[in-house]
Amino acid sequence: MDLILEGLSLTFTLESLLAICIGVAAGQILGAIPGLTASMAVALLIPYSFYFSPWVGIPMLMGMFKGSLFGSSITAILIRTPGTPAASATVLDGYPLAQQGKGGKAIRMALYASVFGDSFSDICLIFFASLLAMVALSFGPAEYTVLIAVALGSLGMLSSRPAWKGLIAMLLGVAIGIIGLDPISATPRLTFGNPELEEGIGLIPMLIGFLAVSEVFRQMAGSIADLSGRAIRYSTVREDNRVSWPEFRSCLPVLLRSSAIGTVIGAMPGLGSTVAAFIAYGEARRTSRHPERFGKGALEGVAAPEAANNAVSGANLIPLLAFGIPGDIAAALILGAFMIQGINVGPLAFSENPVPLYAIYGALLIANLVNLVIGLGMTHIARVAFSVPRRLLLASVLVIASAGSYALRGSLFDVQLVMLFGILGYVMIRFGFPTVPLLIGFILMPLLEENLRTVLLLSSTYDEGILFVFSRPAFLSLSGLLALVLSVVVWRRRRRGPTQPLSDS
Amino acid sequence: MFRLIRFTGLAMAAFLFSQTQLLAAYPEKTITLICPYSAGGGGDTASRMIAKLAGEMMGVNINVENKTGGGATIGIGAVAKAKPDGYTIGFISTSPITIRPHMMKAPYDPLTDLSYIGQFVASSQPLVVLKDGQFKTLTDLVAYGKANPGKLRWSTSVQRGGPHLAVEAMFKAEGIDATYVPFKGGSKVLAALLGGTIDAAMISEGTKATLDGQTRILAEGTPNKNAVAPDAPILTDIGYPIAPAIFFGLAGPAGLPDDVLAKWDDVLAKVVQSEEFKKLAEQRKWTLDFADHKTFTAIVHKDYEAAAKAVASTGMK
Amino acid sequence: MSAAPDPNMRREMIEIGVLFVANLVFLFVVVPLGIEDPARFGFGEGLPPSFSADLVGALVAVILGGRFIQLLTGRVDGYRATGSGAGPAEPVEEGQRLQLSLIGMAAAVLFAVILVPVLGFYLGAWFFLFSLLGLLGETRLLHLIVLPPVVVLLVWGMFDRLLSVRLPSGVLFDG
Repeated sequence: MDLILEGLSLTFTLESLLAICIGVAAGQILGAIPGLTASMAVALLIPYSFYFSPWVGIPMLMGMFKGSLFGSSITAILIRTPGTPAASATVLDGYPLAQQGKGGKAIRMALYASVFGDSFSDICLIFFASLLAMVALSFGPAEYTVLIAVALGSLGMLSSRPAWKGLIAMLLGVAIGIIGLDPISATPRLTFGNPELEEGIGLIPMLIGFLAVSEVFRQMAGSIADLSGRAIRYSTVREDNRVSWPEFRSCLPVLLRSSAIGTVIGAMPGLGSTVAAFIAYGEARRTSRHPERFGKGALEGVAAPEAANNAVSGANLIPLLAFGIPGDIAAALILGAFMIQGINVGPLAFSENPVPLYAIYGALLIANLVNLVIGLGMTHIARVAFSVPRRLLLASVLVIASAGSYALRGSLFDVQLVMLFGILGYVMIRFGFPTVPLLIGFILMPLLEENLRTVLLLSSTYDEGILFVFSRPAFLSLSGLLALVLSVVVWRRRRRGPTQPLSDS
Repeated sequence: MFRLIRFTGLAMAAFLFSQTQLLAAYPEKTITLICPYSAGGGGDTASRMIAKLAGEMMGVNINVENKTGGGATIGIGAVAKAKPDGYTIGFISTSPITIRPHMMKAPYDPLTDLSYIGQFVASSQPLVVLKDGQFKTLTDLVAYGKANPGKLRWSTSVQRGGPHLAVEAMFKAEGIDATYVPFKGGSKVLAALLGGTIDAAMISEGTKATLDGQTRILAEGTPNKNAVAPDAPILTDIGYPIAPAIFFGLAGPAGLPDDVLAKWDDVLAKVVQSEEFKKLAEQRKWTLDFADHKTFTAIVHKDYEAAAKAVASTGMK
Repeated sequence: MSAAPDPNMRREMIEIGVLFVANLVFLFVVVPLGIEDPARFGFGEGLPPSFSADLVGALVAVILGGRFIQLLTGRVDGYRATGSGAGPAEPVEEGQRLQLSLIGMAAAVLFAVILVPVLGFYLGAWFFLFSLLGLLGETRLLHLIVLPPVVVLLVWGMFDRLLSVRLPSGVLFDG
């Protein structure tokens, strides 16, 4: 108990609080800028972190990561531009809500869901870290393959009508995802000798091009009067700009389920928040009583991905704190910051001296509260910032998106790709091909291929060949669990009739 | 009109003045440091630290530009093509310099297109296995590999990097047929090792994991002793073909003037001695190992030749 | 847009035809040229590098073929969908409005391919914003003069000053 108090006292100081506030605010702003992720900003700031005490620097980082996840959903909702990839699923229902003038409601829901997901996974981190980490570590390529395949299956329903156009779009995404080095033999595929293509097409140019820039081109086809008007119209009805208690309560099951999905996925290194957000969205839609409302502005469709992507960020610390393995780049950067500050992170370190651990817990929980408070302020700022004339916003999005996509790799080629994908996306929309399945194919299929082929490679080292997967307890329990879930789904669908497919625009 | 002429004259004068100054004392203006790795990784952190500390010492700004892609060959290619005046230099590490050019085409020739400025870090790459696993020594691992062709599963953080080549060459020398399982990045390799998907790994993360009591170090894949396990044999010391230096260093386009190289020898030595850099290296488990431009050039040339032989013998490409 | 199914169905068939040809090119020209793969269509150690690409091509062919047969046999459940939610939902008046989109796309390509590489990012962005705002119907001179520099300054402050990310300087000003 004394140790806990000692740890908490490290972060319950004025400097730490201030650092968290600055971190959250900076994160929300950076997160809102397409192409700029919090990871990048943190990486750029690391050489300066020597000048801070550890309990100023680290809480600031954590605040930044949490803030950026909410910040990126502001632009995802208002202008269909996910500031970071994690918010791409938020576009699906957030943007339609904003089009209906309910942008304020959607942003608030995103904020509440973010804070909910964050708190959920932080509490899991505090109480079940070592258990979750054990489970996560027992997952190898075989289990990942099953998991991703199931996710793809459940997201396959996200296609539009007519369904074939959604499937074709998804396969186009897969084809783009093939470009780059082969995951197993490392021979170049479809690069045609261009070294810029060797590491594959970046996710950021894909998202910015297909979601944001294509939408910019679409909106330019409005009338002149429309282009002179305000960029985002808010409904004047007070109810449309806030989330009422009954609305929040009806989203509660979705929030809980999505946070759990995010926490589990976050605990496993290598899947990431974008995948979690899409899976949570698919699940929310599948379990909803009104799946037909999804894609047209369902509040649950905003709550699910936002809760899940934030839950990932907390859960990413689980393998870090339990085994010293950073789950993603954000966790790797936090690990780097700890190291620079001379705090050892890992299983042995914390059993010897748990004080820093309690300090981290304290900082995480405070950051959630701060995120809520500053986020509420940010919704007002966003309202002012996006009341500029629409034509200015459209042109500026193109400029800022170019800068953001250049910054990531220092490559002009990426800027040109963004414009190319924007045009391709616009053509697709005009011919009725949805762009979101394309992104899902692009994100998930390379993961599936990589893991599946690793499994096949591994199978050559076992006497029993591919059947070796059945000797893995993790594989057996995962398949059993999924089979159970699937049979429940089938049984419930029998009772209810098939769900409707949905569109993304 | 007169004004315009006068202005042009002044500008010309200023330009000439700056040119002569440039000859007098390097550096006179902002230096660009191209980092071929993306923001957030170890190479990027090192570049930014060098830029900050060296910039302070030389009294100029050093801007870090991330130019990634092509397994770091794009950024290094940009360095090789720059004007050799010392104002565009680049961060380099082992594999795009001494290893990868033997396996696939790179937009530069490491022996003729680059001037090597200096090395400041040499990291260690321990070959690790599970602490409580069946392998206690390198001999155990080799014996298992020989007895079970194709069954030994292993990995490194970068496919076709220095450690991959070092272990592959060792297995070749022993006649072991092992299965390389690629993963993206050292932390995923460590997770696979701890989760039992692979049997052995040569990763820099192994040093910390051994400190944490999770792994055991069997051997060291670079010419420097591992700080945590000084008894672990260095691969070349026990007769295996190659243990390439895994370095962080700086390079510029071929033909850098002598005064630029001399200046950097001086500054880089001081940077490596600075408290801030020592602290960073200590925490990242980097071994500080300064080498001036002459020594570094020799290291690179020696490893380049050794890698050429090893690549040919293993048939990697 | 809920026109009679006939013209729509014909349009869809043309789309399928175009995609089918594109898919053939992908499968039999792009993939063999772009993926070095001695063991194509076979199993060596695990799956060959071109497996995913071939799978994509095959699936596209199956989906297109299936839809084509569906259209021919008249089993087109959910056809009207093109007008109700998916597809070009909002009634787009052809002509001037589409023109603005095309102008925007041309400007964006010009910006990424010529303006930034030659003029550098900031000057290029200023020129791009100035012309695009004008093309999109901004008539107030004050706005045309004031707004582009403000946006450019904002980007500069954010990227160059705050995050020390150097945006390209362009061949005109290099060195």
